[in-house]
Amino acid sequence: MPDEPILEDRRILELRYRMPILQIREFFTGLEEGKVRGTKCRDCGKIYFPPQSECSSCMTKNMEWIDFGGDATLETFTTVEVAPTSFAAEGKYVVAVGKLDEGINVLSWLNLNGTKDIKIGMKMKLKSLRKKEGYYSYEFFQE
Amino acid sequence: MKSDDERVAIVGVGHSKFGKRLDVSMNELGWEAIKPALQDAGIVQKDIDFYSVGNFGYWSEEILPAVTIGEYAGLACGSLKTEAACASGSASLKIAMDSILSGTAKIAMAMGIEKMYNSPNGTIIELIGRAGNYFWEFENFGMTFPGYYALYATKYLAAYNAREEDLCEAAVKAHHYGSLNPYAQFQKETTVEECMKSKYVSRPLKLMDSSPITDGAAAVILARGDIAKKMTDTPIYIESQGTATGTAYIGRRDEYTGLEASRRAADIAFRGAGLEGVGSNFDLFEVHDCFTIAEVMAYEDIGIAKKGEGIKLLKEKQTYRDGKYPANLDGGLKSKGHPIGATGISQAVEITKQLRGDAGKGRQADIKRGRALQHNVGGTGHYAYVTIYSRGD
Repeated sequence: MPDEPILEDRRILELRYRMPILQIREFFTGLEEGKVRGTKCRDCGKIYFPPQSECSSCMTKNMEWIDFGGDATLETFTTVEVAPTSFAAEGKYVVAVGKLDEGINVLSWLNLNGTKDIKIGMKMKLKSLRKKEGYYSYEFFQE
Repeated sequence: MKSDDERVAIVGVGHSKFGKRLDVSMNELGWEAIKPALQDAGIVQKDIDFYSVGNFGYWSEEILPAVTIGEYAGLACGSLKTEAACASGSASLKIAMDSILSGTAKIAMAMGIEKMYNSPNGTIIELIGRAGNYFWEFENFGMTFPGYYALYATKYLAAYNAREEDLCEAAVKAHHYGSLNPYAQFQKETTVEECMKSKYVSRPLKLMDSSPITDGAAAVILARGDIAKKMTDTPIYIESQGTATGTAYIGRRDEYTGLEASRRAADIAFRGAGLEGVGSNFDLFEVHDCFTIAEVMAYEDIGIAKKGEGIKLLKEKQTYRDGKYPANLDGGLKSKGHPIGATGISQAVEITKQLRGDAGKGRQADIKRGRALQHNVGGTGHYAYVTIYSRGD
């Protein structure tokens, strides 16, 4: 079927969201201090990652921040070869799901610096890091 | 046993050609599905009491597709758009069905549509990648839709000692039936070798493991059972529908070799239809094969294969037309195409044609029990809809 003619849109929309983080501010200050954190309900003991400021089981705000030890086991991973437009400058990257010793699964990049064979079950460390653009994130590193 | 006025049946179906459809606008594409659905049901627009439009959107310009398509098609009754990611079509079916079951409508239309080629590929990859958990998975880590399913594929292949070639068998089957379906985006066969040679999109998934970007629309006309019987000799009843929602954050999943939400939705659907499980109750399956791994996991989640044995089912050709569990005889999402919001309705159209015996040469299943199952997943098990249909005999 013919692809032409097409009217090219003259109205361009740029989307850039403002995402509130007031209720989980300690997560981001933690990253700056070299810590990756979740929240834990003081009533039922449930650990939340991504962190929540309120326990939806207990319906209370009786929460505390806990710093993860960082020790993790690789659950699964993939190398993203075709990246979204906004990640086009990154080249190929490895996304991993790691199970922390605290029993929580975390998704993040697996840092390829010094990474050799990637194998399910291998030991990793989850660490915060400052990206070259200046913001803080967290990644897995091979142990 | 439910009485006729407590049931809902499909009395008309319409399906557009799937593919790169830059020859038509969204409204024109919608009409391409609505017109044959009205004609098939033998009704006109004013006979419809309510309609729903499954659509994900963002990559096409119209924000209110239910209204713009309605205007083009001459529909003025109540309507809405439904969003359940790749299961938006099933959500549309649910709303239209519920409008009849609630007594507010006697005849309703459920349609689904997606116009993806109105944006460039990079934008589409970006937008689907955002449809998991934007804040915790996309913002820092650039997840993609193939990326999510690749996490499952990596784990599955390792857990069950399977190979990428085993997954490619699903692509071979899809393309075989796609080659026989005049509405399919890809109407040509493929081979395991060709699949293995295709480029990686997110390891271990390759281009040939993936459903394509697709424009398409599909529509079904629903009627209350007692009215349906007067409208057609071959009403196809919706016996039950099971729905479930998984976690957004992929880290909150318990395992990575199957979709828990699919299993829950299937259980609810089986119970709703008075069945103990999949057993040998079905002549045909439509499963959500957005990726080859998704088809394999679907077999296991609905129960036609034991855990880890989905690839064996493929290898033994048990999901081909002449096998024990014929699945996706229309080419599936993989070969027919996957216009996000239209897929769920497209599956319903296919099941209706199959149960009527109208599926066409080379891909008509042998209908003995008169029952079929539809498995439609949104995202990576974020939404799950399982719907059971029967001829009512």
